Amino acid sequence: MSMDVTRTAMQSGGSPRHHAAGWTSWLTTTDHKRIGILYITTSLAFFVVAIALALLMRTQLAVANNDFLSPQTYNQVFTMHGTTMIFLVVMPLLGGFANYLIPLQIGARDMAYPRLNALSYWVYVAAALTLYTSFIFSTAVDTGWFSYAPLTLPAYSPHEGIDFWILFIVLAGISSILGALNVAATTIKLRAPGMGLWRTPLFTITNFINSFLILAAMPSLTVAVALLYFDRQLGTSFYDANLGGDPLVWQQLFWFFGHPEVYILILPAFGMISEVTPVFSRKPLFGRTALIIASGLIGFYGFTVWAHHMFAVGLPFWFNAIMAGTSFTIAIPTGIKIFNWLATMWRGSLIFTTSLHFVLGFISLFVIGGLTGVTLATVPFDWQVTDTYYVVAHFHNVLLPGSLFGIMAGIFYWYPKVTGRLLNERLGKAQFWLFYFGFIATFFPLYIVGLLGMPRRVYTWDSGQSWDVYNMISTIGGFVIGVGVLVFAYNVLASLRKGDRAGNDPWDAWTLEWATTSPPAHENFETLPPIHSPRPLWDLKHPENPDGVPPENWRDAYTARELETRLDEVQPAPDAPYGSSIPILVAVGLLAVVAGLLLTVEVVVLAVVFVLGALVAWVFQSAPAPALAPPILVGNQQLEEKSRYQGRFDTGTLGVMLFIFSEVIFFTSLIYAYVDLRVAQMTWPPEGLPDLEVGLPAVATLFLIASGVAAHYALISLEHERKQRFQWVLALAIALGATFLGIQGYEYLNSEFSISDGVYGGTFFTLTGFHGAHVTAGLLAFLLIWARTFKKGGRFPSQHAARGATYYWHFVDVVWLVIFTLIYLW
Amino acid sequence: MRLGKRLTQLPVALGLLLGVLLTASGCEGAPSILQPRGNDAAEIRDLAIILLAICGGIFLIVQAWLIYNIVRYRRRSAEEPVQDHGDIRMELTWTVIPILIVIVIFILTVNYMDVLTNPPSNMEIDVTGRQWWWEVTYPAGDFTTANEFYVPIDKTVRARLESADVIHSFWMPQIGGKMDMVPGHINQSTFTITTEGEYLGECGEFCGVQHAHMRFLIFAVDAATFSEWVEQQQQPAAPAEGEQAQAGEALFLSAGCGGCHTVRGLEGAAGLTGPDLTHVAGRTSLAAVTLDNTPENLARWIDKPQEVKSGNLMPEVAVSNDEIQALVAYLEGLE
Repeated sequence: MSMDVTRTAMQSGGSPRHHAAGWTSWLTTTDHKRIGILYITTSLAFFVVAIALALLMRTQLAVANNDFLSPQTYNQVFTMHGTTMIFLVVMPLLGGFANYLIPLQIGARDMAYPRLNALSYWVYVAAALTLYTSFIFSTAVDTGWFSYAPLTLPAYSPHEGIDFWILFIVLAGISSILGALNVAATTIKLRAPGMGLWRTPLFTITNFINSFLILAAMPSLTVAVALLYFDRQLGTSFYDANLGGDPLVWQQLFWFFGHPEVYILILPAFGMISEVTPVFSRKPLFGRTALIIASGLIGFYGFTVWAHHMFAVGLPFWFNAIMAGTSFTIAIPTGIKIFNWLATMWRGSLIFTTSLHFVLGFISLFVIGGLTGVTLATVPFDWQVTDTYYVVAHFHNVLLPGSLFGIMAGIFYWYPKVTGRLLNERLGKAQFWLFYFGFIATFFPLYIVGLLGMPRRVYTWDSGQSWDVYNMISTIGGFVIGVGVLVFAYNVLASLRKGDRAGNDPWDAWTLEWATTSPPAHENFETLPPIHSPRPLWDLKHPENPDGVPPENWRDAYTARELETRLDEVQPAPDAPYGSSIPILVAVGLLAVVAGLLLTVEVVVLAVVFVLGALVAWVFQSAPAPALAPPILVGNQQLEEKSRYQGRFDTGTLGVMLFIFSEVIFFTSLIYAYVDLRVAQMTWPPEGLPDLEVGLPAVATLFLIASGVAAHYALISLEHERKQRFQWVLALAIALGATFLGIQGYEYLNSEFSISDGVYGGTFFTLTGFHGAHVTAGLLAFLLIWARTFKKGGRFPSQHAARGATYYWHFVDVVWLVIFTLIYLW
Repeated sequence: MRLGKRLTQLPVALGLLLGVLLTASGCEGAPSILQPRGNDAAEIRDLAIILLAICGGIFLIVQAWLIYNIVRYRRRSAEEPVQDHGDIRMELTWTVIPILIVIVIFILTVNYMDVLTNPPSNMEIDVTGRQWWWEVTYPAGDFTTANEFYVPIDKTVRARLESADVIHSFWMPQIGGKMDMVPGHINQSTFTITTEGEYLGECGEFCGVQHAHMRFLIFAVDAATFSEWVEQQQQPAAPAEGEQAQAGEALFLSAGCGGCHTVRGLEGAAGLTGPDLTHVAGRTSLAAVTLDNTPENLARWIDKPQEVKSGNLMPEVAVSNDEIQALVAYLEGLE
C-alpha cells in the first residue's frame, strides 16, 4: 500500500531551485524547514539551560537554610528559569514545529511570508541575546517572570536587569507576533485544494487558533512593559501609587496576556497529541469536530479568566465570582479533549512507541494538573494556596506532562521526517520513564509542602516545619528529570548519524507530511494526493474503505476555484533569490536599537536609520515567493498545475488585517490604562496643570480624516489602473497626514506640561505619542509605495501593498477619533 | 442556607483521615492549611475536602479508562481496527456531566466566598507590609509594634492592610487565606482564631530579595492575657538600668539607631523606617522571624545585619564588640 504514497512523493533533489551551500546559507534562508530547524535547535539549547537553572534552584532548596546560592542569585535564577522556559523554550519550540510542519501538513511549498518568517526567527535570537547578556553587563532580572510593579520601579530595582528584561519582552513580542501572522495567513491561504479548514490536521488547526491567541495577548504585555519603561526612564508614574499611578494596572495588563499565554504554551501540544494518538491507535480521531471546537473554546475562554491570578489582590466580590465561573468553564472543553483522546485509543490497536508512551503519560498526569487548576479557580481555596508551592506544582503539572510530554511525543513522531532517521526507541523509553517518575517525585511533594504552608519564590526555608523530606524528594526528582534530559540530548545527537533509516512514512500515517521524502526536498512536494477527508493518505492506502469519497465533478470544482485567484500573486518574480539577507540585518538593527537604549541615544538614532534603510531595501527586493503549488496526482494523471491561494483577500492585505487585529488590542490596552488611571484621580486635570486646548487638535483631526479620504480615493484610482491619478492623490494623502503630524509636533513643543507630570502628562504623551508613531509608520509605508511607482521598468504598482497600507491608515484614523474623544473631549 | 454544609458531611470524615495521615507522616510544626486553627481556614479546609472528593473521582475515572485501554487494546494483529469516527451519545455524556459538575462547584465557590467575606468584627488592627517586616498598629490601644502581636481568641479581628513600598501579602496559613497589601489601596482581612497558640504568618507575594524572611508571629490568647499584653505595650520603654545598658542607650542615639527605630520614652529615638523597638525584649524572634531573640543572636544581628539577612535595609554600623554588648544590654532591657 505504501508504494502508492511513495510514488506521489518527489524524488530528492528534484527541485529546480536548490539551497545555496555552506553554513552562511542558514543566515539568509527563508525556507520554512530550515527556519523550523533553527527555531527547534535554538530552543532545545535553551531548554538545557533552563533545566540547569531549575536544578540550581532545587539544589538550593534541598535542605533547610542552605547557602548554596545567595538570595540575589536565587531570585535571578528563578526569574530566568521561568522567563527562559516560556519565551525562549516552549513558545519558539512550538513555533519551530509550526514552521516546519504546517506547510507540509497543508500541502504547501512554504509559509505565506518567507522573509517575515526569517525575521521572526532572528528577532527571537536578538531577544535571547538581550536577556542573557544581562547576566554579563548587569544583574539579570530578579523580579519574577511576572515582574510585578512597583518592585520593578527604580526605587526598588535600580539595576539595569529590569531594562534588559523589558527590551527583551518587546523583541520577543515582535518575534511572536510576526510568527503568528505567518501561521494564520499560511493556514488561511495555502491549504491544498480539497482541504477545508475542518479537514486540516489538528496540529495545524491548534496552531491556527494559537496564532490568534498570540496576536491578541502579546500587545497587552507590550503595553505593560512600555509603560514600565517610561516609568523607569522618562519619569512617568503609571505604576507609582505615590504619584497617582496604580500597581494593579500592571497586573491587569500582565494577566490579560499571562493567562492566554498558558494556552499558547499548550494548545499546539494538544495538537501534537491529537496527531500522534490516532496513528498509534490505528484509528481516526474520535469526535474530531468536537476536538476542534473544544480547542477554539479553550482559546476563547483563555481571554476571559485573567483575574483568577488576582483573587487575593482585593478586587470586588462580583468580579472574582465571574472570573471563577469562566475559569471553571475551561474545564469543560479540556475534559472533552481528554475523553476524546481516550476514546480514540478505545477499541484501537495500540502500538507502544515512545511517542505513544508520552501520550499515555500525558493523559495520566495532565489530568491532575487540570483538576488542581479547578481547585485553584475555587476562590476561597485559592486564597490559601495561591503563591505557595501548590501553585508551582500545579502549573508544572500542566506544562511538564502537558506541553512538554506533548512536544516529546511530537519530537519522537516527526524527528524521522526532519532528519530521515528514527530516534532510538530504547533510549526514548528510558527517557520517558525518567521523565514520568522524575515528574512525580519532583512535583507531588511540592503539592504537599504547598498545603503545609510553604510559600513560593523563597530562596530558603527553616527546618522544623515538616518541609524537609518533601523538599529533599523533590530535589532528587529534579535530578532524575535532569538525567532524562541528558538521555534525550544524547539520543537526538547520536541518532542523526546512527539512527535507523526512517523512509518516507515510518509510522504508516495519514497526513500529507508523510507523502514526501524524509527529509522533504526543497519546496516539499512534486505532487499531492487528492484530498477528500482529513486523512488523505488513509484514503489512498485503503481505497476499499476510504474516509472520504470525491464529490461529483470534483475536478471541475477545483478548476473553478483556481480561476478565482488573481494571477499576479501566483507568479514569483523572475529575479527572486532563494533566501534573503535582509531579515537578519533588520534583526541586527533591532538589537542595536536595544543596545543603544541601554547605552546612549546616538546609537539608537544610528540603529533606527539602519533598520529603516533595511526595510526600504526589503520593499524593493523581490520577494522570494514559493513556486507554484504542487499539482494533484490522481492515478497517473496530474491535475493541471495552477495556483490555489484560497480566500477573498490577497496575502498582503490579509497580513495587514491580522496585524490590525493585534493593534486593536494594543490600543485597547493603552486606553484601558488611561481610563483606569484617570477615573481614580480626584481632579482632572490635577491641580496646577492646565486643561487641554481643543481647537488646534480638532483642526489636526480634520487633516487626518481628509488624508484618509484621499488615501481611499487613491486606492480606487489604482483599482481603475489610473496610475498618474494614483500618484497625485497618494501624494496629497501623505501631505495631509504629514500636516497632522506637524500640528502634533507643534502642540508638543508648546505644551505647558511634560510626560513626567504625573498620570496626566504620562497618559497624554503616551497615548498621542504611540498614535503619532503609528501615523509615522503609515506615512512611511505610503512613501515607499509612492516611490515604487516611479521605479523604472517596474510593473504597474501592486494593489496589494496599497490596499493593505490604506486599511492600516483607516485603522489609524479610527484610533485617533477614539483617542481624541477620550483625551480632548472627555 | 448553605449547600456546602450538607455536602460536607461525608468528605469531612475523609478529610480527617487525611489529616491524621499527614500528621502521622510527620507534619508536626507545619503551618499547614489542613490543620486549621481559625474559622476561615476551617471553612476552606472543608471546601478543599469536597474538591478533593470531586476531583479524585474524575481522576480515577480517567485513569481507569486509560489503564483499560492500555491492557485491553494492545496491538495483537496487523489488521487495522474498526475505523470509528465518534459517537454523539458518548460525546454528549462527557460534555453534559462536566457542565453539571462545574455548576455545582461554582455554587459552592460563591457560597463559601459569601461566608468568608467581611463578617462583622470585634476589633481592628492596622498592618503595614514593609521590605521585609510587618508593622502592626492597634488603633484602640494607640501603640505600634512589629512582627509579633497578640489577639484574643474567638474574637473576629479586622486587619486593615497597607503597604509602605511594594506589594506584600498577609497570610496566616492556619488561620485563613491571603490578602495582598497593595500600594495605594487599602485592603482588609478578617479572621477569628479558635485555639490558643502561636501561629506563623508569612508574606505571600514576592517582594524582593528577602521575601523568604518576611514572616510574623501571632499569639492567640485568652481575653485576660490579651488586656495585660495591651497594657504592657502601651507603656513607654523603661529607662536603662545599670552601667552597660545606660552606655548602650547613649550609643543607641549617638550611633544613629534612633533615626530609623522608635523607642517610645527615649527622646531622639523616633525613626519610622525600622521596626518600633519599645518592647523588643518581649519578642521571641528578630528580623521578622529570622532568628530567635537571644542575646547572642541580637549581637550578631546588630554586628552583621547584612550577613544574617542580606539585602535588608538595616545598615552595618561600625561598632566595637564592647559597644555591641552595651547595645544588647540596653535592648534586652526593653521588656
